[in-house]
Formats: sequence, structure tokens, C-alpha cells
Amino acid sequence: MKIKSFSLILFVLLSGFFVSCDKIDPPYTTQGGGGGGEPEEVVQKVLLEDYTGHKCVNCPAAAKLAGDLKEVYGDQLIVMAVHTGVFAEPENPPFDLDLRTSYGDQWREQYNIIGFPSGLINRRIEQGSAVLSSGRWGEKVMDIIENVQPQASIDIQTDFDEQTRNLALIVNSKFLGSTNETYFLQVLLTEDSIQGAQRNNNTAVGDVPTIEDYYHRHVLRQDINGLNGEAVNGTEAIVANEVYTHNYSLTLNANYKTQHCSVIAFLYRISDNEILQVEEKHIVD
Amino acid sequence: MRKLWIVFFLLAFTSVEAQDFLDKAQINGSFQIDGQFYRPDDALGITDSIIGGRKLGLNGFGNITYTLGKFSAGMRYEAFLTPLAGFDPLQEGNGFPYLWASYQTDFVGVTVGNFYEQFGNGLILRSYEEWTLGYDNSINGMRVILRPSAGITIKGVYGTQRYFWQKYENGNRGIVRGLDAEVDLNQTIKGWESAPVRVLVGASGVSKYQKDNDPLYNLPENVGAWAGRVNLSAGKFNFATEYAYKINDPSALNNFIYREGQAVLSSLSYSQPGLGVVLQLKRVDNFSYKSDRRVNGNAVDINFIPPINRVHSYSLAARYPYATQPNGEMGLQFQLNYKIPKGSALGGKYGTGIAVNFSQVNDIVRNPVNDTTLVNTSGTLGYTSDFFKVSDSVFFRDFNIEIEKKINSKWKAVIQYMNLHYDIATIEGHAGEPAVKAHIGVLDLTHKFTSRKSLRMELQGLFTEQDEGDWAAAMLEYSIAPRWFFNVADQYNYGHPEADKRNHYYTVSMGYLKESTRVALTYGRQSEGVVCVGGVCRQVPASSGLTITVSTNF
Repeated sequence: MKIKSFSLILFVLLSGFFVSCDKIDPPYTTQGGGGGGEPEEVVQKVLLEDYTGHKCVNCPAAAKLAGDLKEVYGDQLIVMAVHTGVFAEPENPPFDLDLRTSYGDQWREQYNIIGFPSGLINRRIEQGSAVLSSGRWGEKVMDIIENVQPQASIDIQTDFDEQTRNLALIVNSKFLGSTNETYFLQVLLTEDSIQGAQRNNNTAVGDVPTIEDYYHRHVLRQDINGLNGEAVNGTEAIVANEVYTHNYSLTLNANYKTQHCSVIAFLYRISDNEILQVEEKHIVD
Repeated sequence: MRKLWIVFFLLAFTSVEAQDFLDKAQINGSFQIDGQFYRPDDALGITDSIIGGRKLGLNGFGNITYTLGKFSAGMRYEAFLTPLAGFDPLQEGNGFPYLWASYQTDFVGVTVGNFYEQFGNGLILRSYEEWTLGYDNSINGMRVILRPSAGITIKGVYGTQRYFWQKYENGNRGIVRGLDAEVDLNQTIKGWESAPVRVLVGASGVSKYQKDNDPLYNLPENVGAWAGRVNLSAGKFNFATEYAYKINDPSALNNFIYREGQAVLSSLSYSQPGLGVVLQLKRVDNFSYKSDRRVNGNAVDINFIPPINRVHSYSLAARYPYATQPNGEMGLQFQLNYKIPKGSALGGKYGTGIAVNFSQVNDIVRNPVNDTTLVNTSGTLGYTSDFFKVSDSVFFRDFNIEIEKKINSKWKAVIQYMNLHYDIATIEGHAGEPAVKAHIGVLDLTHKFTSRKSLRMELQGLFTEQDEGDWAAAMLEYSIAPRWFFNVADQYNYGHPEADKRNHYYTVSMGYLKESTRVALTYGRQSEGVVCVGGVCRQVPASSGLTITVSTNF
């Protein structure tokens, strides 16, 4: 009798647990559809910096995740792959590609990035760190896009000369409110779809252990206005709706495929490095 | 913390006289500080830039427990300033991550604050702390244990798990709820008290809640798991098994697939004086269970999958330890311990101990869910798997034999041989690298000069054509019991494929023990490697410098 009573109680209690189970039926994924808002409307954009390397086995899955997020959020999400650290070091073929940059290495040290893949999302610091494992990217991107009101806009104009490979840039920054805080403008060059080998351990993403003809997406190639960029308005306060124009000119490296190159410009607060707004533009249409 | 101490004092002073609070109480504690001073070492590739200005790493804790009758309370202070190399940077910080108060009677036990708990083998719930790994998944919440009658124990827990120093707020990670019941049938059923077969049965259920904030997937916010277990013992035989099931739990670790999880662990053993035999079997299929689905490192695990491999203590034998693969593995272990009796031809005057151990872990078989979906594709069921089929992919195989022989009153010897197959690509993530196939030999000789003074010598060799090639190791340790030890050791990677990496990893160390306080100093180099405890591992980078450990308890 004692056993029966006990079993009954246990059954009732355990049943309670299984009421609190969510069995999900297909479809398991949500629908995409981001786009960047109406023309002329200032929308909040997000920069996802994917710290990666061609010998990092978990990185292709993270790059795919970034691509999936881009399908959902369209132009509102800008992805930049920063190849750095031991996993990005070149070695014997097929891993002889060197996609590292001195800026990527410095940012990795600055943010104390040890695990790969890791991401920075608008370089926003929470709980003492801006570094996020890939499992947290989607949630953070969604949080910023849905909850952060845009405070600035960026317009990039490019003029590329195919003959001389000279790229002239005009970057216009406009803040929606006045502020005494110091903001910097950082302008960078990325190259998309660079073909090379990539280590991989996920059969759903590609061949294991090496994807021979992998396309490295959105690769940070070089800076355009220095490691930290430059102050938007020098030492002066920023005035609402005033357009701050910065002009740049550079000669594109002969190895870069111009049709795959883009300029990324972002505004960040100097006090905590958080990115306020970001924009991307292909150098040729 | 302040609130907890208010509760602590109220409980203490309202139930007992103030003097009792001091006189009749018992206080226990333990402290430890591990410090390491790092120096650049060109031969190991350790530069100032790698050290990054953090020349000194310090990990320390202090644990205090107060007991007064049925009431007890405790706390643990920790300081990782800065953490030792190889520990997660998120460890950096200091504070009181573990505070608790508890009231226990024969019928009920209540704990508030932080606690460690395990249901059965831990397949669906185990919270624990492992200092050497920097691992702590303690639950911060409440626990009630009821013992309604002899042989029946019911446990209920709920709370959130520790994630380094991150405070739980605004649902930034999941909530864990669990229930476990265990019945000793011999104590519960009339007439079974003296039955030759002892039967223990248990069942448990755990559910975690984490809000779905993901833009890509429709995620289950409540994920349940349950397990059932039986332990039968009859004379010299013991059989134990546990089966666990978990509903869909897409996570960063399983690549966000929606397949359910299963795990089974069985053990059959025979034991008599001089002879012990154990056979263990395990199957794990998609059974990582974390209270934060976004975490893919060693943190916030709700469950624990016990390893069924021998834990080696000799340094080269322990160089390639197995790390549990929660996404899928099938393994077995066989262990035989036999003592050849004293006085026999092989046993000699003191007898001879022989231990034979074999373990192997393979992958499970994964088939695509349909013709158009690759195995393990995110946002799908992931794969199908035949429960009884074993993949040809071998993660780990270890055959080892150890002979322990006391030669005479002065000399004692241990000889060990190990044959290893280690899938370094899967276990350490070195994709593309061939599995390490190694032969390892150990000779351990101890000479006793007097009842207090002894000299121990270890000679080891690891022979492999893969990874870093061959190693040799030698160690001499002089002990003056119970106070002192002095140790000189070297590991030499003489077979490294790259000549400039054929390094010596030498260490000189000494230790002093007085009462319950131990001080140990080590100077030298540490090779890069993996440290595993219970199948959970962390990478240890190469380092060079001075290490100090001070520990005490009271």
C-alpha cells in the first residue's frame, strides 16, 4: 500500500513536469524579410564582427549563421569577418592564404578574444564583455534592431576608377540629436567571397575536415582612416542634423576583386567603443 | 549576501541561546591559493605579447561551513585575479558565488541559496564544482529532500545555475526545476528485508525554462527530460542501469537541431577478495542539456555524462585523455583487478596486483532525415540513428595493463603498458589531423630507506608517429614523510616532427606539509595539453615560470 501511494504521488508530480515541455513541430525556422526600412527613413543597423580563421573548425557554422541572420535582416545587418589569431595563421597549402590584418589582431587583443568563433555586435558591452559566442548572435542582433532607436545616419558615396584603381570616398555622418560626447568615424574595406581552404567539423555546412573551395565572406581587408578612425567633429560638440563630411582616397590593392569589395563605415562612442550606426556600400554597383 | 546573513542570524538566534551559537557550533573550512608567475620562453613560443602584461595569475578560494545542530550554513569566496593561463577569461573576478543555509532532520532537509545535487548517475541533473577545471554549475535556488519512510527519498530542486560571475536577471539564462525519487525496495516492501537480492529503483524529471528570443528558430521554451534507474545487487554481483530521455532541445552545441535526446548507462560488476571485474556500457545520442542553449563551452550543464574510461595518473599516460562527446557516442569498458595470492610462484612473498583495462568509444551512426537534407542541418530534426548500430569511427580506445609488485620491504615497482587510439580531430578539434596511435610504457620504482624516507623514480615513454611524436619522461622524488617532498622531473618531446620544437619541459618542485597545511613550489615549464576531470576537459597552454600552491583546512 505504501508503495502504491508513493508511486501515485510520484506519477502525479512527474506528470507536472511534462506539462511544462514544449514539443516543437515543423516549421522550425522563422520567416525572413528584413530590408532596411523605407527610403529616407533612418533605420538602426547592426555590425556583426565575426572573429574567425581558416583553421577554426567551428567557424564555417558560425559564418553560415551570420549568413542566415543576414537573410532575415537584409541590409540592416552588416557582417565583417575578422581573420586573426592562431587559427588564421597561414601554413602549408591549402592553408597558405593570409587574411589577417594588423587591426584585426589589435582588436582581438583589445577585446581579449580567445575562443573562436566569437563575435562583437556593435561592440556593445554587457556584463563586462562585448564578446559573444555564436549562439548569442541572433538574439543580440534582434535585440538591437528591435529595441534601439537610431541616433545617427551615415551616407557613403564611392567613385572608383577602374584604370587607376583609385577609390574616392565621401562619408557623410548626421546625428539626430546634439551631443557633447566624442564620436569617432571608422572606415574600413572588406572583400567578399575570397576562395580558399577552410577547416570544418560540421557535415551540414560542408566537407569534413576541409572545405577545399570555401568562400570566405565579408573579409576585413584594410583600414581607410586608421586603426581607431577619426573624430567626427574634432574636439567640437556634435550638432543635431548637421552633416559631417569626410573625404578619403586610396588605391585599391591589385589583388582585391573590385566587384567584391565594399566600404564599411561606422560611428562609435569613444567612451565605451559602442557602435552607434553602421553603413556599407559596394565600391562598384 | 547581506540578506542571507540576516536570515542566518535570525535563524540562529531565534532558535538557540546566543551562547550556544558560539559554543555548540562547529565550524569547518578550507582555503587554497594557486599562483603562477609567467615568464617569456622563446623555445616554447611564449612571448611578452602572449603573456600580455598578465605576469601573475592567481586562483583562490575560501570555504567556510557553520553547523549548529540541525542547522548549517556556509559560503565560498573566490578570487581569480587574474585567472591562471588556460582558464576562461570570464572567470576573472572575485566575490561570494556560493552562499547557503540548510536545515536537516530525519524527515526533511531544506537548503536555500547555492547547492550541488545529483539525480542518479547525473544523466539529467548534476551540479558540481571542479576546481582544477574552473568549473562550477551550482544551482542557486531551493532544495527540499523528504524521507517519508525508511528507504524512500524524494528530492525537489529549482533555481538558476552559476555562469561565472554573471548575475541572473531578466531571464539572461534558463531556470532549472527537478524532481527525483528513489526507493529501496528491500526497506519498503514487507518481507524483502533480508531477501538475497537488493533492489533500488529511482526516477527523475527535470525541466528547464528559457525564453525564446531567437530570430531564426522557433525554440522550445520548456525542455523536459526524464530518467529511470535500477540497481540490483546479489552477493558478489551488482548490476546498475539508467536510461534518460530528453525532448527537442535545439542549442548551439547540437547545431540547433530538433531531434530528441537519449542516453543509457549500464554497469555489471563482480567483486570478491582479490578479484574485481567490471563491465560498463554507454550510449549517448544528442544529450547535451544546458540551462542556456546559447552556451557551447564548459558551463551551465544541467546534466553530466559519466565517462567510462580509466583515469590515468602518470603524465604521459594522461597526455591524451578522453573528453565526453555529448552529441553522440557509444562506449564500453572492461576492468579486471586480480591479486595473485601471496606465497604462489607469481605472487611471491607479498602477492602481485594485476589490473587489465580496456575501453573503447565510437561515434553513433547518423543518417539523413530525408534525401535533400544534410545530416545535422540546423533547423531540422538533424538525423536519424539506429539505437544499436555502432559507427566505424573510433573516438578513443585504451588498452592498458598494470602490474604492481612489492619486491621486498625496501622496493616496490609498478609497470604499466598502454595502447592508445585517440581521435584528436574530434576530441581536441584538430580537424584533419590523423588519430594518435600510441604505445606508452611506465616504470615506477620506490625505494624505502627508512619508514619515513623514500625515493621514487618514474620512467615513461610515449611512442607515436602522429601529433607531436615521441616523448620520454623521467622523475625523481625524495620524500621525508610526512612533511617534505622534493621532486625533479623532465618531459622531453624528442620526436617532435619539427626539430626546433623538440623541447624539454623540466620542473623542479618541493612541498611542505604541516598539520593540514600544504605549501608547494614548482619552477619550470608546462607543456601544452588537456586536463580532464570526469570527461570534462580544458585546454592548458604551454607556460613557463614559477607556480605556488598553498592550501589548508580545519
